Amino acid sequence: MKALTNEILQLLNNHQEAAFEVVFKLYYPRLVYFAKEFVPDSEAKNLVQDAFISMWDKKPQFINESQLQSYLYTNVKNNCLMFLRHEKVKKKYKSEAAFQKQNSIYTEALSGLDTSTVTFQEIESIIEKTLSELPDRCREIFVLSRMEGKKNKEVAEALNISVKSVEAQITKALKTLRVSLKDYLPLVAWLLFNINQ
Amino acid sequence: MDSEKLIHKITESKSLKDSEELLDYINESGENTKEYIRYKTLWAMLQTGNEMDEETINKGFSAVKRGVKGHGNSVLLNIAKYAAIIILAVSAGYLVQYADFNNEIAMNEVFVPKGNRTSVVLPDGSKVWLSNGTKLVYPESFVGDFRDVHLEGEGFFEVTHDEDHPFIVNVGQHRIKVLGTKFAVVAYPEDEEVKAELVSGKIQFDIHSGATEESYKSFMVKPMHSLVYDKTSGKVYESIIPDGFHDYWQKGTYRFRNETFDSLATKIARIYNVEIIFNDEELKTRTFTGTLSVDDNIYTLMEVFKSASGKPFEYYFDSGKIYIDK
Repeated sequence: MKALTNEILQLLNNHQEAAFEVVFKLYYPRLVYFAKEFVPDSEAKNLVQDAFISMWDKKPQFINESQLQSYLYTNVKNNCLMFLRHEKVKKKYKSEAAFQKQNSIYTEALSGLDTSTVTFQEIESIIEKTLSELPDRCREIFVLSRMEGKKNKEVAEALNISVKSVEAQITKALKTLRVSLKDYLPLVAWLLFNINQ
Repeated sequence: MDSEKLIHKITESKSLKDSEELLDYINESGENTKEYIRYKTLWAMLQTGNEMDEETINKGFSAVKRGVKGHGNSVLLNIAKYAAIIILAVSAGYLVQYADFNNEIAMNEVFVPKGNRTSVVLPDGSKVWLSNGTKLVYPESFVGDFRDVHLEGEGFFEVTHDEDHPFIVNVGQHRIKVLGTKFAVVAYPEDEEVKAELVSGKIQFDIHSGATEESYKSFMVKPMHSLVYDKTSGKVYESIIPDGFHDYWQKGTYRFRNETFDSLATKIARIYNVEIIFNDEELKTRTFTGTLSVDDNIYTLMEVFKSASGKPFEYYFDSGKIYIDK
């Protein structure tokens, strides 16, 4: 999942706007989709934008990308929690049980979510481990498909193979992964097994 | 529901409240709740956002640039210009200038300490006399449809006539709307009441009531009358302005008639910056008639009260406070 070079981080530490833009473009989408899991779509973007604004203003220094990820996710998490608290108060008199339940579950989920550097190192190692267990061709397809978000058709074009064989490779990869990941992280497995299908 | 089904549900990324199946599952047991939360957070963490198109990302970046201090255009300059806090001493108080970030108009704040008086000329030529622990906030220049000022404490206003731009004194949630006139407002946040006293012209007293920000009950105040709003009971009553009214604002003397010791003590505290503590509750209800002047010495004043009182009382000073005893 690592995508930023050390040079970019260095430039970001030096408060260079170009580096900030690179980081923004890489992390904005995933942070918005992260937030969307807990807050309404309309709010997710604002909350993530606030996190970036605060990052630019506060000029934190990062040694590695995990630190940067931790910083951003922690900020977005806190912004979401603040929104949920506000939403709860605002709708206090709205006696919708499902809404109240959702608010409390989401709050619990976010409060308990570890966004420290360790988490990002773990996720990274899970992905790396997953990748290393794949045959080369599979891994290549997986990277294009999963990391770069390319559609099966695009992967096929990039590797100059047929869409059918891309699908076949993915299926093969998934079979391997099912065994290695299912036991301890069913969701990752499920996630990987359903790419672009 | 087995794990696979649960995971499948979560990956649909729908709101929990919209899925009866998930709600039922969570409500079944604490174990189920934990399992849901585990998958939900992991799913959230694994989002790549690849679905987001270029245009949305660029829009987001523009929004962040706009929100960032000193990023691009002149945002930084403007904020720095107004964020600078300029402290200017005025006769008997201080004047602070700061920015109202919403419209980038510098705001002036005049604070008059207890035991002091001062007067200010507002940007529209209106004159305000302030006294005793009062704060007035007004813009460097009036723009927009209204001339808005904020008052905490007491002030006497001589407002320049301008029918197109009503003058509004905001006191907490309430407000007094004016076209052009002479009137006084007494509205200390810690007091039980808000008072508007009209000398001439026309003022409208808007008392905030109800849930929404814009709901007010409006009362017109007659010339030479005062309107008092009791914060606790919510009642409004009207009375004629007492004779000494002008003296208070112009000469700094306060005339009182059958006023309770308790009420006078509050005024003395503000005028002389000294706290009065009643060791005996009964003394609070005693009434006095007379005049007190801002320029009087507090010792002289206490002696006058003592001699004027039908029943004797004792007083003593201790660490800046006056204690009153039978």
